[in-house]
Amino acid sequence: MRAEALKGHLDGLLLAALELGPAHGFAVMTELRCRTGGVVDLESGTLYPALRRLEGAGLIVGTWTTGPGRRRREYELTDRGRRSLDEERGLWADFVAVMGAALGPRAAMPVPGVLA
Amino acid sequence: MRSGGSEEAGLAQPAVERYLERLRSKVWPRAADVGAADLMDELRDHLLCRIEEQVAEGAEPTLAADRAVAEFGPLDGMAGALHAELVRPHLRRLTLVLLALGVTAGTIWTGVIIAGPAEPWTERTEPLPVVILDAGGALAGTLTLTAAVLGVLLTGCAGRLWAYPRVRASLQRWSLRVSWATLALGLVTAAQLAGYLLVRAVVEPTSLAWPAVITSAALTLAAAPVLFGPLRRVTARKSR
Repeated sequence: MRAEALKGHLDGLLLAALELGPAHGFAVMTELRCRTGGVVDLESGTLYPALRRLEGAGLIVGTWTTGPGRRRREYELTDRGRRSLDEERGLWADFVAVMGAALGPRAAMPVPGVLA
Repeated sequence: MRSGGSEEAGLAQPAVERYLERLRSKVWPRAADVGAADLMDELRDHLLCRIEEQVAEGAEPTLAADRAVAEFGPLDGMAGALHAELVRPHLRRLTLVLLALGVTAGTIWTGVIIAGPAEPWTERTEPLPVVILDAGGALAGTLTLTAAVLGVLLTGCAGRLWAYPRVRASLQRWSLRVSWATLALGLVTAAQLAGYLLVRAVVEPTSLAWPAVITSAALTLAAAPVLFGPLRRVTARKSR
């Protein structure tokens, strides 16, 4: 998938990956990779700055836990983050509907002149 | 706690530590930062998780470490992305403080001069150095405020363009340059104001409302440290 296609949807992807419960950065990346069959494979240089930004915006909250013998930062959705995810889903559904109508099979589209 | 989770990942620790140290020195070249240790711990956990994942699939630990580091992305790209995100809140604060100080100082000193006693000269008899200080001060003051507004706008735009990291980083670099320019212009304005007041004080000491001048000068000097906090945090990290 082209990286440009993800622009504007990164927040929604990360929030969706955290919807089921707290997770650390690597788990978020793995979750997205699994959900999309490996198509969405975020770079670390994209993931961690984005997590910081979402945390700064109050959409997720990070806490330090103890992983397997080392410190681990886990992120969790806030109420605001859940609302933002709902909004993102609504926008995405609208986008899919519009693009589906515009880019759908030609046969399904009215041909100019035929209906006139 | 910096030891690896599994024994195998522990064997690969030197490669991870080398990468993280290089990354840390690129993002924080001069000053230690509390955030640096936390972020490095978070990234270390990520790298060790990836190594453990590969080792569980049968990979050799040192090869797994090399692959994990390679997958993590080019050092410059990672450092640039982290830098842009870490410096943004401090840069935003710096530009807002510069604008607030510029507007406040400009208002106070304009008030002190306008509301105070009349100048000890007329337009015809105004000495040339005073004419130059007057015009220069007005120009420098206007440029200071313009630059301060531009800095706020650039940082604001950078904050909204998060989906375009290169543009965002570039805007932030320009915002920092504009902030330095604002600071320099502010100092030039202050120097010209001081020169103007000095000439008035020498020519006719009673032409100044001294209590207001001294109070304003004290307030201006007292406000300077407000700048130091965000300025120190912004400059502690290196721009790409």
